[in-house]
Amino acid sequence: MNTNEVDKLIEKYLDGLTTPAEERLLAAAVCRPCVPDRWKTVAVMLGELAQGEAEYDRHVAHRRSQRRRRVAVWSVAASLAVVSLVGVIYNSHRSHHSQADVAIAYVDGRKITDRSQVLALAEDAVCDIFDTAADEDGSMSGVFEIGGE
Amino acid sequence: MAVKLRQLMYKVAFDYFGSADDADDVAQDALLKLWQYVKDRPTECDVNRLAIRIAKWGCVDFDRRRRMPLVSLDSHSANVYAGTAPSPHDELMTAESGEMLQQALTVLNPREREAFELRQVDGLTTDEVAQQMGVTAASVQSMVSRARRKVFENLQRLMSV
Repeated sequence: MNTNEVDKLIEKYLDGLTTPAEERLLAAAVCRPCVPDRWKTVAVMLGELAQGEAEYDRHVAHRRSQRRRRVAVWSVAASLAVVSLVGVIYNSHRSHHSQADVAIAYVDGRKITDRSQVLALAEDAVCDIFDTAADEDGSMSGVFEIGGE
Repeated sequence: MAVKLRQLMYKVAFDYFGSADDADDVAQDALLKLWQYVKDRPTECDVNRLAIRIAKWGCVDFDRRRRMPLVSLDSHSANVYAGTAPSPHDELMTAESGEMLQQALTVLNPREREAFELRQVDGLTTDEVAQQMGVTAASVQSMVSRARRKVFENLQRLMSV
C-alpha cells in the first residue's frame, strides 16, 4: 500500500468502518520503522495483537507459497522421470522385436546373418524340394500338389 | 477447556513453525498470556478467538526473540545482552505503548470502552459486537468511531509529551 492508501485506511479505521482483515492490513503498514507520527499513534491503538496477527499471516502465507513451489518442482521432476522410464521401456521393447527381423542360416557350418543372402538360400532350398519332388515320379505330388493334379 | 485451548494454540503455532517443539513452547506461553487477558476483562469475551489471536502474536514474539543476535560478553557495546530476550529498549517501548493506550482508554465511557475492546482485543466484527451488546450494527459503528477518535486524540497528546 502507498502512503495515500494507508491514510485513507486510517480514516476508515477511525470512522469504525474497517473489517478485522483491513485492520490487519493497516497494522502491517503502520507498524514499521520510520513512519509518520500519526501512523505511530494508530499502531499503538491497534495494539500488539493486531500487529502480531499481521506478521503471522505474512509469514504463514510465505511458507505456504514456498511449499507449493517445492511440490510443483517435485511434480515436474517426477513427470520427467516417468516419461524417461516409458521411453527406456519402449526403446528396449522395440530393440527386442527388431531381433525377430534378424535372419540366420548355417551353410556347411558357416553362419550367415545377411538377411538377403539367407532369404536367397531359403528360396533355393524350397525350389530344390519342389524339383526333387517333380523328379520322383510324382510321389511327392500328393504332398505338394505339384503338376496341378 | 484449558486442554482444548492449548490444542488450538498449538495448531496455530505449528502452522507457523512446522516444528512440534517450538509449537509446544509457544502454546504454553500463549495460554498464560490468555489467562492474563481474560482475567483483566470486565465483560465476557470469545475465548477461542482471543486464544487464536494471542497464539499468533506469541509465534511472532517467540520468533523475534529467537532471532536476536548473540553478542560477545567481552564487547564494549552498551547494549550487550544474551540472545534469548528482547532488548531492554524494545521491552520498554512495548511496555510504554501499552501503558499509554491504557491511559488513553480512560476517556471512554463504559459502553464505548466495551465496544472498543470487543473490536480491538477480541477481534469481533461489527455485527458480532452488535449481537453481544444487544444493539444495532449502526450503533456499534458509531460507538467504535467515537471511541477511536477520542483515543486517537488522547494518545497523540500523550505521545507528544
